[in-house]
Amino acid sequence: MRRGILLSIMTIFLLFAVFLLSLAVFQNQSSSELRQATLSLPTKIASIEHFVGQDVLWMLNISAPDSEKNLSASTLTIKFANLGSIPLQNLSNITDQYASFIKNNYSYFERLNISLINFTTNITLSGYNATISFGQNETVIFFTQPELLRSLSIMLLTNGTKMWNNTAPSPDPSYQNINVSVLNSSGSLVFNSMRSLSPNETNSAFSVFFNQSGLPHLHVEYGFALGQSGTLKITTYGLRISPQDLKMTFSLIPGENQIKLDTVLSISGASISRNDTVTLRRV
Amino acid sequence: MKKGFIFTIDILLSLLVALGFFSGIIIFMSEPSTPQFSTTDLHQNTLSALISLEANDTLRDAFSQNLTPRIMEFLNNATASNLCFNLTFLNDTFKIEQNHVKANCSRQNQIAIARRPLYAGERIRMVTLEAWYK
Repeated sequence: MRRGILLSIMTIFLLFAVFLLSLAVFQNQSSSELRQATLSLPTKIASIEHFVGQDVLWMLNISAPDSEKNLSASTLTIKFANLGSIPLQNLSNITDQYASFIKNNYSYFERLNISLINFTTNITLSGYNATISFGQNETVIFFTQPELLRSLSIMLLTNGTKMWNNTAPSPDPSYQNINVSVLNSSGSLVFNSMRSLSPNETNSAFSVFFNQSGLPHLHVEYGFALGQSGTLKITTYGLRISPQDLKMTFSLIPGENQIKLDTVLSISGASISRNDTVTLRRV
Repeated sequence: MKKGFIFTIDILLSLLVALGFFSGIIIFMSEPSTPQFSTTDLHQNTLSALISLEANDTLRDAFSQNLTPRIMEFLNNATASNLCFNLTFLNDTFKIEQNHVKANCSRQNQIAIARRPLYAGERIRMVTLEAWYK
């Protein structure tokens, strides 16, 4: 009788131990699967997005954008220390190659279907609807909501030597301050002008001429241009320009926004399907 | 030999085995559920190291300049001491252009690999970083 009770207790004890062991193994396994599912895939997607964004900045020779919020003044300032060069090398060839490489080669190695949809090098500040577009002989910034822009300043480093002449638009004090400065090939300041300009009117350009014949020279226009209000267009004729220290100050709007590429990164496979724009920076 | 003596030893031994088994399970359960050397963590570390190597345009410029000292300084001193790394630069036809292995590291079987496409020198290339625990 006593032996039977003891054996029963022992059996229950051992079965309980086996149950605990099974539970521990199950929990360990599910925890590991959860870590894989919640950490690995988003990190991978974020890293691919980062790689594409960085490569586009390298293609354009642009420094990563910086931002600064001033809550007391209620402003957001976006800065680009380096904004590539004008004229630009023919980018379409390299962007096609890059998109093809991502789709065919990188996808294969990563065992995912990765592609770039509508791959362009345009950079957009969401929320503020400002887009920087890089053309062959001009760089254009479209401010679709120009009322949000408070001021803009840009410095243009040129390969011109001696300035011959310059012009600046007539000021219109009720609008945004546009500041343009130009440096010659030795880094000396040859032109600096700040004007308040209406975004809705066709204003004359800030123009700098390096020779009496008219060439080489550069123009910076702000206002109604290319069929759109709030357009800043930098054009060069016979000069090489490196736009630097671009600072755009906006009236702060609530919420988080992104500086992003106008390109959709599509990733599918491994039971996921994502289409995201490539974010360069959150502001 | 009394009848009761055998039963007592028998039960005593069973009890000891059961207690040992039970203690073992309790110890097993009290340990962290994730292994110390997780493959997920290894992959995360590999990715982080690859992204860190972009600082000062190191990855891009390594194709046009000799940046071996800077890369080795990073691999040897800026990465976790229990991790080994093997950084490989591949050209546009996937042939190895450069290879950098962290000092005092020999290849292990379990590795994590992070790859990135790379625009450098007006060509599309690839960089791979392999990592494993020492």
